[in-house]
Amino acid sequence: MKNSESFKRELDLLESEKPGTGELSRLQQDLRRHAAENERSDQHQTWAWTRLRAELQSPITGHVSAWNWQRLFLPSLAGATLILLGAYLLSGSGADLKISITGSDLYANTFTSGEAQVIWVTGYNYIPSSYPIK
Amino acid sequence: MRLSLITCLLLGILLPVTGSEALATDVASPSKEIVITLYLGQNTEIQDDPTIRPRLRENLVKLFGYSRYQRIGIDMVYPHSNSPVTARPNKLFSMTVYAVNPASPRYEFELKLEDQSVLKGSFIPKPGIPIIIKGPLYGEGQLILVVDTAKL
Repeated sequence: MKNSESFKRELDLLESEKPGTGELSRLQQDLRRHAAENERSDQHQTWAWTRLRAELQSPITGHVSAWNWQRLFLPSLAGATLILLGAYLLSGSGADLKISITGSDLYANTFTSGEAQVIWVTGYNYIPSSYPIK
Repeated sequence: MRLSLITCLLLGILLPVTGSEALATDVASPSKEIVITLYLGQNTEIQDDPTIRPRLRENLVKLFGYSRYQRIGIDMVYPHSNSPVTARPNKLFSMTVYAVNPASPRYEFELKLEDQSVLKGSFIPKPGIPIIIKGPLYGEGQLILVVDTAKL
């Protein structure tokens, strides 16, 4: 983990950020100095990682880092998406045409054909042509 | 503070986009004219209706296979309130349409064949998207109801 690409990106990002306050500020200064002196050893990365974790676990005072974005924003976004998906499903799945009841001995099915919606009803009695329909 | 603000802004953008379909059933729509047309599909001995829209004719041929479609009757209703309105395209069929919730574009309907209930259901009328209902066989052909929607 400490040598992974994602961790290195985190360190690069932290180094490039504007100076913070308190522990975070000292951590950034140390990281910049070690980066300039080409001393980013595994030990240093472990130390930086530990301090970074401790800093991020402290109350947020204003500045939002990329790590906080991942930690706080993405779960919020996922939760909101789930709520919207649930509302969509509970609202009737957006079906434009619903058949609730059919007459006795009749069966109905709905489907789409071209741009039209079709209700295919079966079970009618035959009507002879002698029966006037107009 | 800034995180909360940005989250609210993004949710404000996402809600109308992803929730538009979900909320569509609760949004009132302008008044519409519902037109119910009864056709008889048959291969011979009837007068073909030349006014049928080409795409509808293509759909009828694809669904029922007949080459000629005669218009037997037509009626229209304006379901702008929750009072039921009934269209009678001919003396056999009647279709009652009403809005259960006037704030919703969804209409309830009941189709009857000589006072016997054939179907009950609901639909959201959309101009340009007809509802084709298969009717009973009649003589050598097939009765077909087409429900069209027009904006007023």
